[in-house]
Amino acid sequence: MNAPRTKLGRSTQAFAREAVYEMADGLETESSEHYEVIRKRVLFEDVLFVTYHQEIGIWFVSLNVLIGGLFLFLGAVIVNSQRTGNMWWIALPWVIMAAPFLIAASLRAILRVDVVTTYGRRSKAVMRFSFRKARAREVYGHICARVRQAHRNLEHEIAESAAAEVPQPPAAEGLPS
Amino acid sequence: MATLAKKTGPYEGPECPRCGHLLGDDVRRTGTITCPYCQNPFEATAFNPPQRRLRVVEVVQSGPEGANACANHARNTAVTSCQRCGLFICSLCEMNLGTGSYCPSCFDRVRAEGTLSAATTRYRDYRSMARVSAVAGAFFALIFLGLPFGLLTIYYARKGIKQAQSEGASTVGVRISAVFGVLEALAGIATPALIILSVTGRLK
Repeated sequence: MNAPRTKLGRSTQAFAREAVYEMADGLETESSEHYEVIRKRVLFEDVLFVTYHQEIGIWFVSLNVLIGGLFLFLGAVIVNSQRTGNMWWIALPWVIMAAPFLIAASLRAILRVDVVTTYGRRSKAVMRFSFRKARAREVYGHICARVRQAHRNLEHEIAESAAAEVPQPPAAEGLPS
Repeated sequence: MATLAKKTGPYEGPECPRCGHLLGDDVRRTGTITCPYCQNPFEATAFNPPQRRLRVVEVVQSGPEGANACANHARNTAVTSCQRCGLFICSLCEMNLGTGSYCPSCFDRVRAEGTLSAATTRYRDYRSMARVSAVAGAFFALIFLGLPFGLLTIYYARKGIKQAQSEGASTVGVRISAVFGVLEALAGIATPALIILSVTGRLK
């Protein structure tokens, strides 16, 4: 049985998928490579840098505009070649086919995607939030809080072990109080 | 002056989340940062994690009668023994995975064998394989290949269910794949049987 974990977010790109889970001592990332899953951990104790930014994703927008535009272009060519009948009924299927791609590109351009990246000493975890902006902020704050807590605990642990190493004076037995 | 280095190959450290260039210590700070390379801003929180200090007790300190020496470092006192081979190991050699302590060589072996789930960093995703096999089988069933694909789906689904249960994840998706696998296998048996029966004239 693996250690309990909760899903924080995911990052889906054209050729990479990554799911990020929160564990007791850090973040666990699972990225897919064909049919294999590669698991990595970013320990809270090792975190150096947490970033938050918004991006459009130029490839996503370009590809969707290109596919949507292609459907509209084909529709326009066919409508142009027809001389009789109602043109709207001929154009409508092409507009319907183009609409999802153009809507997706427009939504991405307007809303943008929020990216939270956690950099450790040896690995990093990336999460992308397309629609849940508040959740992205919450995750960013939550990770920073967990990292601060982990670093405080580690400092405390180090201080305790350092204090234990300091030689103590012998117990004052038999001495008059 | 900002330290810049072009990122190449695997992860090397904190980098600009927009352009992927490595960021030096002088650039990393809390607040809004403008990447010195791509000039794009991003919000960041920088941390300076304290270095964990490992306390290594030497045999000289603890006394020869009170301690065993580490098998790899004769001067160091052993703090535990390897769970797999029983070798005495010091705190430098100890690989504690939460479920037990291992010596470095045994850790490498259990990691390569994949027998220890906590040390596994790469494994096959049988749930995805079952899903893909079920979908492919639905198409290949049309050309009488339902039986091999169905059996393959059942095999992957069985492994996928075990995997999901060990991870505490939902098994609904993989169970649906298993049902598809059974249906494909049955279709793979029924279709040739029906053809044979109809050809021989037994099916009226």
